[in-house]
Amino acid sequence: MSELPLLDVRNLQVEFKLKNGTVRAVDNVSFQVNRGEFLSIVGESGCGKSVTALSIMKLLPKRVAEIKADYVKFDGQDITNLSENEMRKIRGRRMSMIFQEPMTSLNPVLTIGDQLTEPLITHLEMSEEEANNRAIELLNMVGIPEPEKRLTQYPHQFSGGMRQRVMIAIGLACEPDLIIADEPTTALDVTIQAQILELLKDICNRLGVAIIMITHNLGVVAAYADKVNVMYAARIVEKGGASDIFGKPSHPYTIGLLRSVPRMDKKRGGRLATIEGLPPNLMAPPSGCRFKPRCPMAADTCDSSPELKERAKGKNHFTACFYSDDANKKGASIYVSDKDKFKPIKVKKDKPVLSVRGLKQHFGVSFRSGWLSSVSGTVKAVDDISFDVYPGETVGLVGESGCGKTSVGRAILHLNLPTGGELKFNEKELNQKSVALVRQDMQVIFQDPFSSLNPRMTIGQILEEPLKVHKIETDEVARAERVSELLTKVGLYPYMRDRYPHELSGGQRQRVGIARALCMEPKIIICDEPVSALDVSVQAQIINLLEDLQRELGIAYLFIAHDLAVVKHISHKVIVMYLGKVMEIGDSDTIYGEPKHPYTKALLDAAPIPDPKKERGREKIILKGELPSPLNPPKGCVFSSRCNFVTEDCRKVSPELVDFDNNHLAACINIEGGK
Amino acid sequence: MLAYTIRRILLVIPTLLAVAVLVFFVLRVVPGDIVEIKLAAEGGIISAEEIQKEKERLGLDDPIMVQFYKYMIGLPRGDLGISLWTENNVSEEIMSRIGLSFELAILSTILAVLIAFPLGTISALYRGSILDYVIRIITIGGIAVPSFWFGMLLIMLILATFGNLPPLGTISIFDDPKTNLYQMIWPALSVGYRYSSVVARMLRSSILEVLSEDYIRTARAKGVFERIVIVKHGMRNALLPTVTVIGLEFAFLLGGLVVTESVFNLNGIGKLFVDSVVRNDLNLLQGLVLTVATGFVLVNLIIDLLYAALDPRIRYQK
Amino acid sequence: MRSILRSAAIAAIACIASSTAFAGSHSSCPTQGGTLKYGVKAEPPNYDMHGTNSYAVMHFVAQHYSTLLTFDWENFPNLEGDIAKSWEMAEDGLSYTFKLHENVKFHDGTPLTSADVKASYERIAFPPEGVLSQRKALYLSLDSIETPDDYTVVFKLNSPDAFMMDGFASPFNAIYSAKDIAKDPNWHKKNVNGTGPYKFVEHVKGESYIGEKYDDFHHGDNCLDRTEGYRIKGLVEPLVGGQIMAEWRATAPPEVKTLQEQMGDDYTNQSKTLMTLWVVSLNSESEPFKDVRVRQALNLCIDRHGGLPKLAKITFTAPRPSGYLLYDTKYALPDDELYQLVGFGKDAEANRAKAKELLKEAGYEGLKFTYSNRAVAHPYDHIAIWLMSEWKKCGLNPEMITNPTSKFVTIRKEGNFDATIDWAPSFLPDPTVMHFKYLSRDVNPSNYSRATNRELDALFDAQKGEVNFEKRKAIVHEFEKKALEEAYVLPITYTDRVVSLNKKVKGYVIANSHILNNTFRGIYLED
Repeated sequence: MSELPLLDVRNLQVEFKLKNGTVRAVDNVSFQVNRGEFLSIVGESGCGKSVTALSIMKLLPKRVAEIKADYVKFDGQDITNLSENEMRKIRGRRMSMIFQEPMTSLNPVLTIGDQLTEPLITHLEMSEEEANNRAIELLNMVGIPEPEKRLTQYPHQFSGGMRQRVMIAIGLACEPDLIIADEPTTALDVTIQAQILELLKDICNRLGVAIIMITHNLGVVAAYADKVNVMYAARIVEKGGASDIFGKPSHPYTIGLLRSVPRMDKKRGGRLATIEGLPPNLMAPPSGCRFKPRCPMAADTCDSSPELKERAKGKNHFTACFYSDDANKKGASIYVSDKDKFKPIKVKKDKPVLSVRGLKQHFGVSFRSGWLSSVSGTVKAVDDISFDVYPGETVGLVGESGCGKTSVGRAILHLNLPTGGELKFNEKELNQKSVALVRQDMQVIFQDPFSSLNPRMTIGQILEEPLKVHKIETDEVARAERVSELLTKVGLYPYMRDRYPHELSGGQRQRVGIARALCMEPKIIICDEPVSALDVSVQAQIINLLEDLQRELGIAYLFIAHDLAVVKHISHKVIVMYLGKVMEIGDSDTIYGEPKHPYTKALLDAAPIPDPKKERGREKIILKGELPSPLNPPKGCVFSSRCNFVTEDCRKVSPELVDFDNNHLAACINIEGGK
Repeated sequence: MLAYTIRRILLVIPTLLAVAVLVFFVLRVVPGDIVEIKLAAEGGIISAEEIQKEKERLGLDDPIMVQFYKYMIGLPRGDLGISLWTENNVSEEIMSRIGLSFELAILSTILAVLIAFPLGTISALYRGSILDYVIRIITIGGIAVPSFWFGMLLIMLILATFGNLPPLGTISIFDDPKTNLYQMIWPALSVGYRYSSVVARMLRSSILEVLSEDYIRTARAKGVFERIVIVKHGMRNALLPTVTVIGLEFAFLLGGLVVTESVFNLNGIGKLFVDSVVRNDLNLLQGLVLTVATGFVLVNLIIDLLYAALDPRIRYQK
Repeated sequence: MRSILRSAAIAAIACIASSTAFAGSHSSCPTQGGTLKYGVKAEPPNYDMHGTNSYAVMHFVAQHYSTLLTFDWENFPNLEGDIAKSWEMAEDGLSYTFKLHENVKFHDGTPLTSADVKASYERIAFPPEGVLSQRKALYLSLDSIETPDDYTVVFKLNSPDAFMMDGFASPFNAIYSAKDIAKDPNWHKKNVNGTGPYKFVEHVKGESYIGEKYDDFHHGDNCLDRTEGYRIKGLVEPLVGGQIMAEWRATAPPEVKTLQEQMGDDYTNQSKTLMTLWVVSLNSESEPFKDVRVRQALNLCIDRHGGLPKLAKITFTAPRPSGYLLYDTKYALPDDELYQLVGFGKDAEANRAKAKELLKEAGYEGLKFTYSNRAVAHPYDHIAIWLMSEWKKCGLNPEMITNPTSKFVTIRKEGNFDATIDWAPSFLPDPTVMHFKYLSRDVNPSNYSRATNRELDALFDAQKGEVNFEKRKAIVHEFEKKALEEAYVLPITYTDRVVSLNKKVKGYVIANSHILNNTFRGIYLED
């Protein structure tokens, strides 16, 4: 192997010239990648990690983006001044890229085969037949069954995971030296994410391909990366080996970031540590250290910019902080711990605020199957689900997308009329008629805080509206006061009442969403993926806010999410769903500590833990295949088609939920010890 | 694809039937009396009795439901009744003129596409350049300027350049293609200008939209030649909305023919339309509306099929 | 009685005299050949001249046919023979005898005989079931037609009819072949076979109408090889662009101006008053207009002497006030007599004062009434705007309602108006044709004033039966004065007709109607 690094980037700068100013999206970034190495670039959205990758490939729009660098050497050759055509010869041939959105990254009107053979024909000048053979080989390699048939199909006939496999196949087609993967699994479910990452890692290991993986998911980094670059506000604040970054973080931002992530592997310790505030606006970044405004260790020295310095010679661990030694030593304690403030919420299991018995939500669907005929079927989005929610309790609802967790929420709210089952709210029956009476007591927070807020109303108007409609506060002055109070309660400022949703950040908008739910003084809030669109540090802030509000107001939450760690952190009780059915239900600690059901175990295994030692040490069950079509679920146990412990009986019997221990139920016939 | 095609074709029948019924009754609400207009054209001394007789002869004093029955009975056989003005078969009157309108429609569509595609593509690829602005001004003009006015401008232009106008009277394209094209190119241009402007603008914006799509970035990341990126990956996707617009604009084209044929003294169905309205020739009018509706439905059928051919998602889903 | 005899004799002599001049004035063509391209703004529904009123038919079809008599266009309305060699009216006015030319042949080669004339006039006067004859009513006095020999036709009347003579020259009364009529009484709707100067070649519906020279034409003054008529929308561009050389109906003043500018020396035109009278019909069933004083007041308000010359500059109306009959023709009231009548005096102020007085008397000061207008610019809008302002000057409150043709026609027919624009088109300057419009409603339903006046009906019948010119003229004058004083229908003005031509077109003589002189006889082309 050559001594020379495969990719050597020195002082890379990218500027975007926009109408209202210049944004330096990447500022003096330098790093190296060796052959076969796995580098991860982590950071929150807007920190410049994707731009870094795109600028290496020179895929940024030339009209607005200006790239400068001392040099970017690829295999010894400086590519900064290469012509477009020379660059084109490198792209796809020696360096390829996998993008975040598998749904939109493939051309919808061209066949998979066409798109896969394109680089082969362009770069390797293969004949069509040769290219086709190679394409079949590639599809086999990325684990797509029946590759011959698949080649003639179009992207819309592939699932998201399958498309990402195709993207990987395209990336690998010409056996490049480097693959840049930009958030390749963010849009995918955990089980699929695990499959894809394993695949990528495995193939690259075998072929000796270097990987630059851009991600915000620290778990993914911990699981796979050799080296990590941590970026903050267009700069690298810390870089080094994965074990150093996770084990001995020495930049306050890295420390904060790691602490903000809810952990599955640790007991619920209390409030999440948060980094206060928001990343700076790159149009007008703060002078000096850019983390200074949010840093607990900030001092006057920080008014000048710290250089990225190696902590110890030869260690290859660099930090851009004047107080890195100090930070390294103190670790997490640099953030004021508010463990003291934390009192566990005690739930009185007296009378449930919400009681769900045998809830069913079936959708009739029909679609054309050809020759003027149509097939109709029933999708059992929710099939016989029962649980209780007590005042002040948080019930987590987890599962892969399509498992029916959102349908549960919608059925409870009567946004869709439930097909069957019994719902009780405060011991009163909840049906189409009575739901209007309790609407005020049952609120909802949506995933996308932007699309759920009317862009033409100010925050004040948005919050006042329900008060007006429900005639809770008829007096105008009182209403205004109430709005100020709500804004304060969710950590915003009363002056924000006059702003419009687009003027707020994602986290602030979600706070507004929470304030809107709170203004009705509800008994229960159904939170549908409330934090999944947010960055890690902001996510922690929102979770803390929800917990504080629960403690203060005794609100119950039905917390629907796909992120297992978040659910674990916030929930008292957890329900695991698969294809409309409950697989396992129980206390949060029990479920995560001693999962019974194979599906729960697989889910937990698939979610990477942000600690390289633990992550790499543990044994994992990786689920094969994808979620079956809900129109045609497997017979017997719905999970049988993907279960690693499947037996003949599983395909015959639909398992009942069995109580194992103190309200810990699981639906599997192969678990011993059920009562 | 075949099933989709057949289903789409079968859907045409109820659509046209609905049009036929609607047209019949709507036209009967329009006031006016063809016999009166016809007989009293230039004054003359005509008794009420004569008018009544003429009405009876033309079947105009039948109860409306009887007239409707006769009309509906005739439809499946392609019998649209007789023109109340000339007393010839309506279908004959239409057939003798439809060729010209058809040629005009085809010619202006071809012209529109020929103009729109280069303009739209150049405009999109050189966005923000002077060229782009010039093209955008030209195309906004096409949308803003009414086609009859543009037609009149064209006539003035021909007069100023050639000193005379193309000869009147239809000359078949098969007998004398040169003269025929010299006659037809101007009206085709007058209709096609608007048509091409709309299409060019649509094409421009859809190319711009498509070029910012993720799969274009993917194609570039694959190291594909830029030309191929634009033509193979870009254009085909950009064509989808453009094709829809071409189909929708065909409706305006049919409307445009009405004025343009009058401006250029062309003997097509557009002019026949105007004549039959002026004369209150209801039979002819309903025949014409039905013909135009059929044309519109057929064109949209073709567009739908074309769309399905271009977009696999439609082909496979339905 | 003696005077009748004398006048009849004079007429007969005159006719013989003019017929001897046959084959003299028109027979020679200064040049021969070429194609005449002309435009027509309308489309003929069929080719039957007996059943039409439309100029569209006349402009295309008249070239194929001959009539018994025709007019001397230079000295209109003097008669001359077409297929008739000579003619004579009996002294009692009850029979007319025609001698026909013997060399006249139809386009299909068959000779024309008296039987064809008989069959044609019977089709006009006594149409069989299913045949529409537009002028049946004019021949109520015709009793029978006799054909003593192949070239003599005798028309027998049951009462004297003063209209008869001019009627024989009516361009509508084309002579068809008896055998064609025998084939199918409506054969001529879709087929053409005449004895006229040009033969039918082809008609492309809505587009073009082609004729070619008939070599055996009996007058020999068909100087063109070919005639090509085109259906046009406007006449300016086709004339300027050389697509056509003539349009026979009328050119509006602004169009004339444009053509003069754009064609320069290539342009020429001819003008003459057209026998279409624009009138305002007052609905006599509307309460205020039952009072003759109100009707007269409306008439008095119109300052004809001041306004018409101005109006004529912007649209194709004549600049001269007139009664119902066309001025300067033999039966018309002389101007000095006309100007004595209510509403026709020269002093506008006095007229207006009188009008206000009458309105006050009748109790209709500031009367509000509707005026139904047809949504056509020339001349309807221009006339409407002028009338509105004239009436407002009298303190009246007219409200204009403008509608497209079909709705306008319906309103006019159903009487849903107080006042309406209306028109009285005539193709012959004969009182029987021109006064028919103003008869009682049960006699003529197209008297849209819906008035009934038996006195006028009687006068009309009297003049119709009077073949003595002076006597007839006296009765006609009486009718004219009476009707104008009753003021059910207010004559506004006749129409000015301008025919635009390319200067190549020679030998054309404009007539007082676009129905007249459309056979293209004598027209030749000169480069």
